Amino acid sequence: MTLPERDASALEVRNMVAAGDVTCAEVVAAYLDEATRWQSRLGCLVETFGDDARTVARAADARLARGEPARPLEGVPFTAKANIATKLGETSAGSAMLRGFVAPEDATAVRGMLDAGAILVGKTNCDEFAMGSSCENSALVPPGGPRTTRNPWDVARVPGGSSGGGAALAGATGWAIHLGSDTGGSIRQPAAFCGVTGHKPTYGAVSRSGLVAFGSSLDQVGPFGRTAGDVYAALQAIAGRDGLDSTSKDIELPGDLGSVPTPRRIGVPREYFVDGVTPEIERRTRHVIATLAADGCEVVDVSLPHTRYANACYQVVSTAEASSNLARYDGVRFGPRSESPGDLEALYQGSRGDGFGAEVKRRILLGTFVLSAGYADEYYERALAVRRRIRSDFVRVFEAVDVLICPTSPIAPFRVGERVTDPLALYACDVLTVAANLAGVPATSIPAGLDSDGLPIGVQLIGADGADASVLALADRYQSLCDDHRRLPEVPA
Amino acid sequence: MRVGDYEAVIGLEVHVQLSTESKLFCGCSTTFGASPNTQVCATCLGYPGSLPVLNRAALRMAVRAGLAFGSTIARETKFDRKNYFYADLPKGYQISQFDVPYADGGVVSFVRSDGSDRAIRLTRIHLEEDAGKSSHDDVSPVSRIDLNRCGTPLLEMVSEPELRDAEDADGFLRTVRETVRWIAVADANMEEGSLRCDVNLSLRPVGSTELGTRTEVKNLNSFAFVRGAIEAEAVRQESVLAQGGSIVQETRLYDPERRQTVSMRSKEDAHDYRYFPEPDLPPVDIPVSWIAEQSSHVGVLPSERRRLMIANHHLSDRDAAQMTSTRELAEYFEATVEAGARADQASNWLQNELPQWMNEHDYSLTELSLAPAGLAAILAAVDSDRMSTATAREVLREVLASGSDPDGVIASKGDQLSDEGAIRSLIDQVLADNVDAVARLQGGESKVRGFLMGQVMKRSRGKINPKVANALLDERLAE
Repeated sequence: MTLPERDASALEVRNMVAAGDVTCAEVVAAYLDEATRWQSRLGCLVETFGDDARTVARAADARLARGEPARPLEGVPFTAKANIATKLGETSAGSAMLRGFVAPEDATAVRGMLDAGAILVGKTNCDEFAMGSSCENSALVPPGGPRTTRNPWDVARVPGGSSGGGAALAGATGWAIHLGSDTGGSIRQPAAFCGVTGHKPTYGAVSRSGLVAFGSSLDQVGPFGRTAGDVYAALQAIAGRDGLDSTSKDIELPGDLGSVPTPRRIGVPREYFVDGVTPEIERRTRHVIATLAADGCEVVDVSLPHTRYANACYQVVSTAEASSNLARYDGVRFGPRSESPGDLEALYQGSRGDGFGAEVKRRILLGTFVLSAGYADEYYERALAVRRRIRSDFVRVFEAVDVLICPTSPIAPFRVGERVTDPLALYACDVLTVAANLAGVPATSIPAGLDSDGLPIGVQLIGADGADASVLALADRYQSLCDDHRRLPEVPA
Repeated sequence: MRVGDYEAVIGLEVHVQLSTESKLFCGCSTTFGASPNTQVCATCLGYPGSLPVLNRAALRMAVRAGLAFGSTIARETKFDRKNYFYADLPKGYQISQFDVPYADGGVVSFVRSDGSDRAIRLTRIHLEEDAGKSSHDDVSPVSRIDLNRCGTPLLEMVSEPELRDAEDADGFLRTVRETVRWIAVADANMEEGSLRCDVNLSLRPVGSTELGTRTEVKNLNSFAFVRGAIEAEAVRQESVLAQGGSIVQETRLYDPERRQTVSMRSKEDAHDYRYFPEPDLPPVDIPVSWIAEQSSHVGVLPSERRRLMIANHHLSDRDAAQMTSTRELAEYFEATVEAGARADQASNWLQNELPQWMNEHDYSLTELSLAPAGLAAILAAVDSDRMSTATAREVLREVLASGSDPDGVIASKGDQLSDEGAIRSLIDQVLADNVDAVARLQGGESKVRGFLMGQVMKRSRGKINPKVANALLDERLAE
């Protein structure tokens, strides 16, 4: 047996399995050991499926031993965010409201990973109902870890959110794929904070069936991985039109990332280098652009003028949809129910009052308000109009360039507890990521080195609707020119 | 309807459950009467992660209904969320249609008892999912929720406020029921809740053209309750206005035992439904091909068929109504006439001989082996005096029971004897065998003629045409 290197990509692991250098069982056992070692420092997992994963791995080894061909992600360990349905374990979405909820079916994305031969090893922590940028809003206490999920590069800091658990584990380890979800940056911002590649697919490219809904017109399931190639392979496994999600569609994902033409025209959107982006982050982003320019890319300054309204627009649209999506949680059919209520009204109030955390309640209130009679025109309807403008900004700019490059997060990972009492400061972190969700376009965050504090910096690549392959091809090209994405934090003692 | 110095202005909201096999947004069965909470799945229970997928068969049926009422069918339509909390609404919102209903306008036409024509315009028809069913125990403080109905496709038809009294409402509802059944999109049984009605009613001084403040009486589930609620609510509003009071805009319920409406919730407590476009369902294109396809299923509606039966076939109003009581019967009748039967005769047999046999043998019209052309052949044999009515009944019963070819049975049962020469010789035989009787008849005993005629019929074993025989007997006796 030769175990893969610690920083090996998922595809390298898969190829070693396919070549018979290592078995699925050996990979899974070693990965579970590694994850457990990190868990005590990071608290990234809320559940681990050791026994099940080992059983599945042995079955996969038996298949290979019978001479069946290795599947595209054969033997690759993967995790799912707590808001993605798995028949194994709980699908709590990080909420007390869904404590103990077992989903009747796997999410379509999970089934895609399983069908590709990946092995589910656990569920990762997240902000409650994916609402947050720090993973501090989870109602779950990660077993055997700190009270909240931490950043592998500095355990005093947050991993970002809402998909913080998956990002933290991806930042600490190689080998695996981690499924997250992104409504306003919930994959890309933690990917930037934890130094990994994370992709928010084109809206509809991945089925939302089995994803606990937050903002239905914005939500997308997407993968974290070590490399653009890993993320692309995972995307191929989970993407595609699904009969269970009417908003899903097929996008072009040619067989091999190497066969996708590398985009040559790069747009630098001026509105994304605004006040509030730290100088170090801006410098690293410009360095990535310069590297690609030196590689032969044409660099064009572009403008997306409605970007400055994107965050306000996002707050209205996402909370409006959330207020409706979260109405079903009443403690009656699933989730914990308020004890001995007086009447139906008291049952609802008790269950919802106890079950939802402060951030979720804040967004339900906000969303209810912006849809209310007398206010809907001023807020919700206006937000829809702004959203159309934002979308046409992107359509127009992608006539001139192939991919936009900008920072993912304006700031470096902050300290645990630092922003938890200031929701507006937290919402401000989303400023560079929400527009892609509003426009439905694909966006990837790639690692672009460390800042002077040794914290990761992420750079965002945004593509046109359906151009996920182009975005990842450019990310892959950049990763062939440097080894930012290979860096891992030191192994804990 | 006049109440004191006022007249009533009435609008209806009618809910019609479409008779699809499965629900509007999931694959669950819609069969009525299953054990509570057995026809449910993650989607209609609103489980986290579940998503709605439109049942296109329901939209097709909805389009058919829209065409039947003369509505304009949208080229593209969309769904919206109507948000409210209720125990029988698992998602906390109903998927409905707000600003782009699939069908716009339309009309419901009927004839009042005094013969006057009414045409009530529709504002719109939209497609939405039904909620579950709550039942409240009168004795113990327990409510039960059955979610089988949850997600069943519903049409909501909204009329303009153009109805004036309970008879209009009755005519409107009966026409809606007849039409949706006719085009086979709904059972529309008020007792099963597959046809439900809300009444909006206001009063205004006679002669005024302004609308007064209205109330809504909800959840009326029988024709009698609709009539009762309209009459009770009009009287209540009149007494409020007559005493100088004003009407509060509110939702009311009808109590059929006390024949009164009672307040349910006022405008202040009214729901703010916070409609917004359903993000889980993209806008839906309605293919142009559906219009032609569904129009062909609508065909000629019963009111028009009645008009044609009266105008072209000279049926009475009553017979025309009978012949259009179901689409199958109307089509059977028309095909029978088309095949050469006399319309009055066809109507008569389709109201008497056929239903009698079908009742005895528990058959429906569509299960019969007898084609309209076969019935026409039997009726033609009677009409051309080739067969007596009695023989024709026998032929019909035999054909229905055996499924054999009517022409063959008509032939084998023996054609009625109309040949004058043969009848004459038969009469001669009878007269020769009954010389005494002939003598008594000629002696003035006139009732003996009946005996002689009976003998003639008996000898022919009933196959003789009695009209011809009578005439020939008279002729022979007069010689």
